[in-house]
Amino acid sequence: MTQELERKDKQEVEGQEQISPGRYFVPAVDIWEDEDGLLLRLDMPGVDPEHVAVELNDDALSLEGQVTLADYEGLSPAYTEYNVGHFQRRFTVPNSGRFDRDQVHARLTNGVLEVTLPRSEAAKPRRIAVASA
Amino acid sequence: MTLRSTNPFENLLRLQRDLERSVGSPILGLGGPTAVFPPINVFNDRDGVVIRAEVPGFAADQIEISAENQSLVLKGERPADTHSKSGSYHRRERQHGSFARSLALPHGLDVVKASAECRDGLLTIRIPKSEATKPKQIPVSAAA
Repeated sequence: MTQELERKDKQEVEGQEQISPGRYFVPAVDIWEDEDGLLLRLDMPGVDPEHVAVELNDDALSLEGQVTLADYEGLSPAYTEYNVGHFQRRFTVPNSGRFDRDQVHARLTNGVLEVTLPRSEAAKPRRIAVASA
Repeated sequence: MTLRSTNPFENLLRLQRDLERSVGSPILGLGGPTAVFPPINVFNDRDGVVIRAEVPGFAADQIEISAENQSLVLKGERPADTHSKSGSYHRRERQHGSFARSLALPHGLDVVKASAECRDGLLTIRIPKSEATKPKQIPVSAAA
């Protein structure tokens, strides 16, 4: 039994002004953590792999995707349920030294941005043997 | 719309404004915004109608489109992500599951010639006008 998808309205980025005008939207995110590290998945429909920017500066992780406007050339809107704009989201990664920043990896598939922050070797959990007396 | 300007910001602004203007114009049997997935935009172009839907995470083979009696049915399923290791979600906002949505097509479209493409999580369906509704030149012959 699968659950039915609901339509959620796209949310605009608020609280920080952009240099350039136009609307930015907040992509929905899943953040998963396991012993290997952090895995983020963000819905960015209409963004191709060439127009994504992922940056980790200290504890600030910033993710941005630009939609391709060429797809709208020659089209005149007749009926609209959603607006189109670039995507942007920022996270604070507390204690980001736990992750190996040289190994941060991003890839975009079918409009979903997947970012992995692998745990640095030093921060990986290890089993501590308990010596019996 | 024609995107003639070389300034990409201007183009984005114009597109956003144009889309804002046509919110809820009732066509295709769509009576204004509803909560049905996926969100759809409908455009006109020279050849006919272009329907676009945001379906992030869907591969082309996870979407099924059928046309029958002037209506178009879109179906799809996005399975939940699986993880091989044990861990936990800090945030879980993305949805998974299935959808089915049907649209009533206006007359004058040639559904048989419809084509669809799914790229970067964006589904685009193009339905051309039927030959009968295209403007035609009628030759006038001189009376013999």
